[in-house]
Amino acid sequence: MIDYKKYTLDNGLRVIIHQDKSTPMVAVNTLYDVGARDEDPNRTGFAHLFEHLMFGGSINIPEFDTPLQMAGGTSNAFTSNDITNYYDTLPANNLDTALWLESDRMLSLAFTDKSLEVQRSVVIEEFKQRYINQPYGNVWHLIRKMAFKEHPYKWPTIGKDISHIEEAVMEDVRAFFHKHYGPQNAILCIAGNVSYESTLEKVKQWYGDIPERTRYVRNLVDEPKQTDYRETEFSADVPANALHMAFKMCGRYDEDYPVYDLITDILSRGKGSRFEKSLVREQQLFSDVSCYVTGAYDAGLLVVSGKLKDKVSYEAAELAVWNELKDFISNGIDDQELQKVKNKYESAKLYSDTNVLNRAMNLSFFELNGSASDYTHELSRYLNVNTEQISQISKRVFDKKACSLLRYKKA
Amino acid sequence: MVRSVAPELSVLETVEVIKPVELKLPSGARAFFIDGCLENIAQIDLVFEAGSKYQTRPLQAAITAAMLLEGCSGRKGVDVMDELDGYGAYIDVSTDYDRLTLSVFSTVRSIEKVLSLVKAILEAPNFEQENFDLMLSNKRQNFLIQSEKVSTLARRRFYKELFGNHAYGKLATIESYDHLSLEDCKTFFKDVIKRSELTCFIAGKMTDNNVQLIESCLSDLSLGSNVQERTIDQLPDHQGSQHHIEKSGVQTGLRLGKKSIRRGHEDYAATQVMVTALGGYFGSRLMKNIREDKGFTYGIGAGLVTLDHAGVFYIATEVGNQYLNQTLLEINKEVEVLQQKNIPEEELFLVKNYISGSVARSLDGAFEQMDKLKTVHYCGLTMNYYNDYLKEMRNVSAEDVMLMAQKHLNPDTFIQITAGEATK
Repeated sequence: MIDYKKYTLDNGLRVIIHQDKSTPMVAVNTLYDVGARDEDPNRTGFAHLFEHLMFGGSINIPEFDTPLQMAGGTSNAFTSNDITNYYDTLPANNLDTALWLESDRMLSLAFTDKSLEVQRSVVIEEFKQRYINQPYGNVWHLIRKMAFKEHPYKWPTIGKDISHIEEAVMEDVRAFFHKHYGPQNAILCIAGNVSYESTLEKVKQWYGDIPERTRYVRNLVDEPKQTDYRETEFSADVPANALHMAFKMCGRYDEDYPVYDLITDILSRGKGSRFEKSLVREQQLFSDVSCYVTGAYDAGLLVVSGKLKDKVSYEAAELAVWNELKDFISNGIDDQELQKVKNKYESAKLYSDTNVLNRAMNLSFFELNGSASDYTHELSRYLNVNTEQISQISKRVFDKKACSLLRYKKA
Repeated sequence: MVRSVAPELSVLETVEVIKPVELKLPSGARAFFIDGCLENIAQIDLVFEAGSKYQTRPLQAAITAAMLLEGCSGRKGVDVMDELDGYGAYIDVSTDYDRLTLSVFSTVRSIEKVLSLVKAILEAPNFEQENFDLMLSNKRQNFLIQSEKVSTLARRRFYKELFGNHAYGKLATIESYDHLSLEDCKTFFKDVIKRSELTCFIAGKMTDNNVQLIESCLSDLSLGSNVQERTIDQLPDHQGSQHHIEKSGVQTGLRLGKKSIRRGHEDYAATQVMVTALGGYFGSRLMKNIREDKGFTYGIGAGLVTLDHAGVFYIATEVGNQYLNQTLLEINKEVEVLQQKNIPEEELFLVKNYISGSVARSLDGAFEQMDKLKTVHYCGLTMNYYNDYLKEMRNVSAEDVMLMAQKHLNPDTFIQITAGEATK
């Protein structure tokens, strides 16, 4: 059981404090409720570029990282399609340093031209390093474009195209900050060797005077229900043919989410899983095949991804996957097979929860949907899934008419 | 409240280390138990002196290790894995240059059953041809995919040039996948793994009862007895050299470095401070210059690696092809500055604080402490090392840093690898 206390400041900042006396450290996690889904379709990649700019100095502090490192701390951040999350860990008695830095960049950035110029270039190199100069690097550009026609999940967080990053100007940066980086749009979680009362006092001291800004109301188009089977082929200089099949599923906070997640575990988690046994070992069609959920907050994707062995045709590989899914849908699973993946989920979760930063992040993620306490119920939600639900959801999800299939071919 | 002034800092002088409980198993193997977790879970790492340095041909150690999970005592691998899955356990076997590690994670309530399977895996692995062939062909495909990455190409070539004919040097190429046989794996298991020293590292909720339970589970393990002593020479010194691997693309992978000192060497603390200042953290000189000032790369780093028979210093990055030459000039410049100018006191203080914080972070939790125990154990040190190290590091002066840069960063001895599209 994870104990925590929750407060809301007058400016709308939601604050979660979680005490753990067993660690000498403290984690400070700041989640901003903005992701790539909130971007202008002609300025994609902006939320992520902005994340880089958050390290380029704030109104009263020329550099973010230097003072934090001076305090023995380290910091990083990530941007997803849904959120932008910043995290610092440092020795607990230097908590003030992190709050000083984080609150100052929430108050206002420095908005220097140099920072924008350099980070544009850094992000372009990141685009090259991770999405162009890697085998299969653009696979998510292709899948998203095919699977989403309306919803902004149709582009990845790095952006549709390098040109969008090249064209970013300071005016966009200022507007983005004012629209999305106010205290009313953020969740601050402090977890570690701290006391509740003095930490709350510190938070009030550092964040209390940041003015609330206009509340951004997200109003995204729902992705229309997919009723047509889609496929795309792409050729590149890669050593092996790859296959991806994306299916539509519910959002991260939906009550069915654990069912989808456990379905992917049954199919591909570990060497004893169905895909591994059948597709890799018995039929020897794939060198590697996996099934996973993307964890998107709005309705997202459940994906089957595999690398075909040499001389195996796409026809044979796809047929085998469909047969495997058909068998799963029509015959269902027994309690024992379900219990197996629940046990694995439980031990992995116990392990992951030993880390104080993981707890801080998870408390923030669940608070975003209204209640951090859902995090403490997460395990029981998984353990309560029954075979009937697995059967029902698998029939719903593995529908060929709602499948987007990508053949990433060896040129 | 004044926002323009940093809050007062408290400097971290010491870290808390958990003293491991050490027991000797009947086979002669040593077992270290680290207690420090609230949940009733345990990670057990069985570490064998059976790394790739003992192999007679490339891939032999790694593939033998992977074959251990392909069934035992006549049972099929998937059935064994299925049973482990049923207990919610995770198992993994890995090798590095020096050692082979079988790592298992489980709840304590399943630990007896899990360890009884682990023992079967280690005592009587199957080694069947069909599984071997399938594994090799799948791993071969993955090797080809990894070979598309300029960072991988540069790293592999760097170690090839660095290690040369030393025992560390039997590195895999695509041809290695055609030359390894199942016999090679059986031989490696029989002659190396079964005859190597075994040390067990166990972390989690280690109450007296849990320690007793795990000890009794491991007590009939025959491995770790009948140990054969093997000696391997230290890596000899090398000359500087430059190598290019042509590979079309938009970025070039760059790796340069040299043989260096190991953890435990009298210069280590000062050298670690110097390398950290150069490229060991986000605010390092290389990051500040090449990423945060010029925007040539997404990231650049420098570090020290300690192996049993060599230390390694390296700098690694991926840069836009058009920036390669400038990046090389800037790296040289930064090395020269470290050799010729005293590091400013404020930067030195920052680096020391950063290192203290990193050490504390890396020791935060029982599983993390276990990881660090393995690190020091194989350098012939104990967990007291970390506080000794912090103390020694605090005493490093600006002159020491400059001296270490002169002594350990001579660019004439650098091996430099570039992998990418040569710019015209």
